[in-house]
Amino acid sequence: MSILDRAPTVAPIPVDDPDRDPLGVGAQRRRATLWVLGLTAALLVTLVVGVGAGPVAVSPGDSFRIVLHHLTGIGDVTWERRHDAIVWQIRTPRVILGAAVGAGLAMAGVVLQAMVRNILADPYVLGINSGASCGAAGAILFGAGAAFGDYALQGSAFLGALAASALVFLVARSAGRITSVRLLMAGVAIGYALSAATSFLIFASDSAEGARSVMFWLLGSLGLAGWNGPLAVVVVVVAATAATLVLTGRRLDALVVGDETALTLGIHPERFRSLLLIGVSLLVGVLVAMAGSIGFVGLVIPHLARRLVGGAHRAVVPVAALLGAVLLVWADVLARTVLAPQEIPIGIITALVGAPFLLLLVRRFQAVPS
Amino acid sequence: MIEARDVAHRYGDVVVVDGVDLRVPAGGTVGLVGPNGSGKTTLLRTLYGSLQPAAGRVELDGTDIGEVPRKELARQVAVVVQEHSGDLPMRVADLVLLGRLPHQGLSSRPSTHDRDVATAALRRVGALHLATREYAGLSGGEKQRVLIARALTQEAEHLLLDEPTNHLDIRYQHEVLDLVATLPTSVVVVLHDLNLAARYCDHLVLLEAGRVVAQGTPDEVLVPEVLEPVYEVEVRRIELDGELHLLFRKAPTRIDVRKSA
Repeated sequence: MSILDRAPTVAPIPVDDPDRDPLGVGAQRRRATLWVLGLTAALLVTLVVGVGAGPVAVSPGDSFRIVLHHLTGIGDVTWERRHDAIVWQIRTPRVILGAAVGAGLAMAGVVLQAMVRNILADPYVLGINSGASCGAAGAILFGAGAAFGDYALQGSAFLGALAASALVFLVARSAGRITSVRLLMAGVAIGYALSAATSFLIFASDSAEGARSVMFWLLGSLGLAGWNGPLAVVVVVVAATAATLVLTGRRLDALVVGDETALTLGIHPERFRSLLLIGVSLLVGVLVAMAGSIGFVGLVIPHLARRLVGGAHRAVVPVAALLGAVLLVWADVLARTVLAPQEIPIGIITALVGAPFLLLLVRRFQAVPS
Repeated sequence: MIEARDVAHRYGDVVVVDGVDLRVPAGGTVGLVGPNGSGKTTLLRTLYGSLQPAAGRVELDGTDIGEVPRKELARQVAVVVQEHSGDLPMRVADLVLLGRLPHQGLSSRPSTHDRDVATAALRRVGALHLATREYAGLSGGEKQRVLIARALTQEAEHLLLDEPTNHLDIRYQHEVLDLVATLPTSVVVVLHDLNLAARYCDHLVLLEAGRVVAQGTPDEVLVPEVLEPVYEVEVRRIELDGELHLLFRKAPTRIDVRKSA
């Protein structure tokens, strides 16, 4: 029997109630839907512009026709052959990778902030990127990961990321429990240790060129993109993450409130956190292995998304993913064009754009009475 | 009915709850009272299965609470604890709708019925006008009422509350407890204020160092002979308009600082 059934003072909501949506749920859904639709449109435009932009400019019209032609076979070839190669072979996979990595980093940030209930958490707070960096440095400087063949760098970086996550997991776990604070402490400690190891590898190698490559990789780049297996892995992992998170969004909400509350709502907070940790580690490992440590996207985008659609994760996750995708493709366009023909690391752009956002957040955060 | 039988719990070697027997009858309001560190919150946590008792058992309608699946438990026992940090935003309506989670599948979003239940719960606690606000921006009394609404949204038979009057001014203390006491559910509430306990509970359990010192009606438990050794204060009990009131005064200490100076 329900309490509310028995409570005499509770009247059913009259049909002619002028306020048919007292909880604002409908309004909230409409708002989220509008943002998702708007951002999807923005992403499509971004993809087309991103494919055209670069040292060799291709008009958006031609870019669109080239991509459409390759995807569907529609349209006659009216463009230069050289443009075809640049657009389809080089830029399209790169733009797709950018969108996937941006979406993935934003979602990883959303999950980690919810998991540790800390607004300053980002995808790298668990030291996963330091593990990947270590693996990447080993591959670039000492030829580690040769077993992965053409993908030695990605493979080695991914193994590094997995090792780092496993280490954090083991250290943070005590008596079968993983608490937010222990997770953060373990992540920070292991992150520092692995950064030191990476620096040592750079120091120990006497290749100046190699050191520069590692540096470039550490700051993040989409230069490894191509029509290859790793790109497919990134796209699949990011898509699977998005679907899973939208489905479990309300459990994330419960976890944000607190472990005890989550428990009394029928969720095993420890088990749920462990599953999230494994998922996020895989996601971040894959992203970092392909694109290096691109900063600020996973820190700033979740806040922006929450500002746009509120704190409910069902809405935050897709909006953050789309925002991250759009932002990262634009950042990559800048990285390719600002000093063209030279390319600058994309992490420099995201940090330059992200830092002012964060400063704005600091000011807004102080203004909210607690 | 929730029933604790000879329940004990310890953190490491420290015994926090020791041999507690307790019955929460349907529709009753049971108050857990006692000094700081007497084991009230720990006992409450064993009652909703957050802590596994080291000895004894807690039963929900005759079944060991550890054997009831979490989700099923959440449909029968709702709990109000204070823990939201407020760093990450959360709308009041979203928070209250979380109370429907135990009734839903893995992914389902709130149905019209879920929304009706949440609306009714918010109206019941007089907080429907807060539905679209941010939880972090509410006053202490508003937050407390919203948390109770979330618990009501679970439509559980039992409601457990851990110090729901914390940080509330006198008016809200009474408002919140008045609301809780008139609910048709059975209630277990941890309270610090003995006068509030006297007024709103029909059964009290007085704990000291994890043991039950006294239990019974407020009239039986709240007597100076029982309270004085537990709280180490002087207690006077008066009745005003048929209601029990307690007055406290610091007990004379063995070492009087003023005299020895």
